[in-house]
Amino acid sequence: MANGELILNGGPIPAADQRDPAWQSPPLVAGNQTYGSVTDTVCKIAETKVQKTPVGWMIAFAISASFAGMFGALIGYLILCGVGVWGNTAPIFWAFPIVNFVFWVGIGHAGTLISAILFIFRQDWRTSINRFAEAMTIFAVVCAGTFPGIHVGRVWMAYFLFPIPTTHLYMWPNFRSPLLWDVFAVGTYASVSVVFWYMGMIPDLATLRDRAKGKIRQIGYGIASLGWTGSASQWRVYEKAYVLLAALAAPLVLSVHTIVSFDFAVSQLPGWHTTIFPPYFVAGAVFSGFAMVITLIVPCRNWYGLGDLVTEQHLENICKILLATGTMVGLAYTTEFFMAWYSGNGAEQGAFLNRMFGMQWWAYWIMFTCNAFIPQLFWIKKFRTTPILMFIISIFVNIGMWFERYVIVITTLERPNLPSSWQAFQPTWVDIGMLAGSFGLFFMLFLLFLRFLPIVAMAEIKAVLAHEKSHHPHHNPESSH
Amino acid sequence: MLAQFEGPEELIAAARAIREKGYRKVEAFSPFPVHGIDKALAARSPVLPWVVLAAGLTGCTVALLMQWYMNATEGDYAFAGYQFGISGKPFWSLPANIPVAFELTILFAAFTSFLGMIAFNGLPRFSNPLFHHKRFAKATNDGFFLLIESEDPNFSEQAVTTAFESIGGKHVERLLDVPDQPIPRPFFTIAAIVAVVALLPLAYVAFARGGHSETPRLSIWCDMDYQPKAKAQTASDLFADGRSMRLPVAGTVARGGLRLDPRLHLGLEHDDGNDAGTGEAASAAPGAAPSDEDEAESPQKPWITEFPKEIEISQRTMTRGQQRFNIHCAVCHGRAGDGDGLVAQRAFQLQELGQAPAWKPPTSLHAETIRAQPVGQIYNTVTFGKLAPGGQRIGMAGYQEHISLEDRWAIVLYVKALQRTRDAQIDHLTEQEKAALQ
Repeated sequence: MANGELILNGGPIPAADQRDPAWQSPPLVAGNQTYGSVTDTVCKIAETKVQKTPVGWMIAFAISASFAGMFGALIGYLILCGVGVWGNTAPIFWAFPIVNFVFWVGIGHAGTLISAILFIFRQDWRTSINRFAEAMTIFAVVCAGTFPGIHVGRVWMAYFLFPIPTTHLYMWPNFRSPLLWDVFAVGTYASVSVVFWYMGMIPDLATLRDRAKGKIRQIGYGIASLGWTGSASQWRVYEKAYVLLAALAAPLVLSVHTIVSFDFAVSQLPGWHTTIFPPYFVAGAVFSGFAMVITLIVPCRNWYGLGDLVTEQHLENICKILLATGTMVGLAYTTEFFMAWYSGNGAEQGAFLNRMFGMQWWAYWIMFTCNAFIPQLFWIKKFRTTPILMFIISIFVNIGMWFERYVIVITTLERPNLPSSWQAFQPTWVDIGMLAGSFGLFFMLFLLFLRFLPIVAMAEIKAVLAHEKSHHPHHNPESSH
Repeated sequence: MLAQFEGPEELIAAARAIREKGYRKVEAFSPFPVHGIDKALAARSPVLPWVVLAAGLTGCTVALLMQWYMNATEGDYAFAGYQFGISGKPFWSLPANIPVAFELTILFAAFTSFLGMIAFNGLPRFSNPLFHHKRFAKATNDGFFLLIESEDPNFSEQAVTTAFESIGGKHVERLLDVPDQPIPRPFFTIAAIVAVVALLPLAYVAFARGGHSETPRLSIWCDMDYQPKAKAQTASDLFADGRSMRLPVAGTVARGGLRLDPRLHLGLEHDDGNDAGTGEAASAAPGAAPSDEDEAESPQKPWITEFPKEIEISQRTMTRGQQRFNIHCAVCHGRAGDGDGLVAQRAFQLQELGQAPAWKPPTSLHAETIRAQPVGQIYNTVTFGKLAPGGQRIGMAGYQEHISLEDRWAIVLYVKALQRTRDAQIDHLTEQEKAALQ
């Protein structure tokens, strides 16, 4: 406590905990929730008996799992037959795998942004969506990591990527290559995200453990929660570690997409060799990630009755971030054109005219419409407060952001500096199948998460709830026992 | 002793009150971090941040050292780095190494804060007396508890119960220290067996790496080791005649294979139906006459005695012939043609040591038999080679693959000039040349 006073109901708010007054009404947690009811609401989702799994979940899982299975089968086909099964061709060597990689990494960014950066800025409204978003991050990074992994062609040689001291290979990586930076950035990002997600879940897994009926669940949740008791000394270290992790993850998330953008910007192709790429990529990543958060949370909130925890205020906030980042992305598109014109470089200008009016003009206009124009609807309050409308817009943004990467990768590689190398790209059915399959894998993992893990950070919600109780006694919640 | 309290504020108040009563071994339990409890319990702030800082600095240092070692140093020890030249840039320049240094800093620090949290909290600890307490399960739901351990100097069951009740504690109960159940022995046995079995493949790989094997290696992925292709002198199912080497299409001649002029190509006045003259093909045939007889019969062949008209007799050709001779012929025959080139000298040495293989010494080009040979015969020898007596596959090889037609004739011209050097008379010179010499 800042002033050293022991504070009981209604005392001054500690400086570190001060929150935007706009957020005190309406409250972060709606309805007459108590600590116990928060636990019940969240836990009952994971505690449903296996035999009573909702039919809707089963259908969704069956569909996504079969797509994920197709993904696995296609990867097997690729490994057996080689990368010729893709549409990749000289000079478009990157094509779909890298488009998908950048797309999925970008999706992941919103999760870390919500959990880390909003945590550091003490945006308490993040508590109800951060677990969701972190899970989304991890599953998106799983999908993202798959693509460069199989894109190397001979996947059993993928260990070449790492600086492994071996006598028979005797080869060190070139640390000047952005592609190698990418290995370190994405590897760090994936592992730190998993750690961050898991550590946030430990107290909630302990809650599930203490409520678990049946041996298997008791043992499973017991091992996963590591024997957490919730003692003051544990919380003390835990909170410190969590703040540290958040403080580390925040610059990490910015660095990852910066380095992904270096893959392009450090090369010398017209259309790629620009300094605007790092901020432009980070803004795009946050944009696409928040769109995916909306896509996931709007249906889940409905199905699982989380309306009191994930309030309309939360959704409106996400929409405002979408509006802001969407406008940034639109600005970046326009700035690129300005820079191309201002550079006086014919190849650079040609590259951008080619994007707009060349063979793939339709991809460019899908990108521009979905990312820069459609999110402008969020200026209208009705769009920010109606879940179904924001869901539809978020789908557009997802499509648009995939096409953004498509435009950047494909149109540029189709038109390198040497005109004799110009080529047209045509995806094969394997390309399309793998894109669809990666969505299947993502949703399959996400559905498993929804079914078996605490999908909302209960401990954090309760802390916010305690805060509200002590500072707004007029809510007057009854005691839990 | 464990007591339950209403909510976070009550917990803080109780913790403070119980410490004021002189109890020191006090612990609080809550479903979420209660801000202010640390102050009330007079807890020290964790050292974790310093550990994390140290780990971050370690990560940064490791990354920089690793990059410097692998890309900017060189040495002849095992696992040495090597200087990585990229576009002529300096081997060590910090800007390119910042991204990896940054990522490893974060990686080390993040894992340390996670593992540090686990370690400082004494986790994982699956067996805890608290877990045997029914009511304590609420600590992760909506219960707030205070615990005074029996090790506390002021501890007595009666006093603690009274103290808890006086500050609003409910459900004051006694907890018995349940000894940790030992992990059953078979578990260790099974774990040990699994560990050993898991190491076996690795051990085998390590063993196989160091050893030698007569059998071809097992290839999970063959890469490009085995390809469907036809090698020379092998059978093939693809063609009706069963051979993988193909004959030229009827009526075609391979490039350079057109040899219509026997004077130019064979050194013969007319083609005697035997391409190789006294060379390889003739003598290598079974039962062929030894080359002593070759020499005897060679005058019978219609060797040409004049250079073919296509070959220009000039100083230019002579110089070219000298140059080619010094490249191709001098290693055995010697620069002066005495048969004492470096290869020959080495062979003589080995012969004296008794180590030389079957070896036919190179002929001196100044020997009478050679001097007597017409240009056509010398040309034929240069082109097709000459076998040792008895038809063994030793002796001079043919040079038609290595030296072009014009150059072979140039060499012949030069050899003729070399031979002339040993018996040249002043009368052979023209008056002008004599004048020039005087």
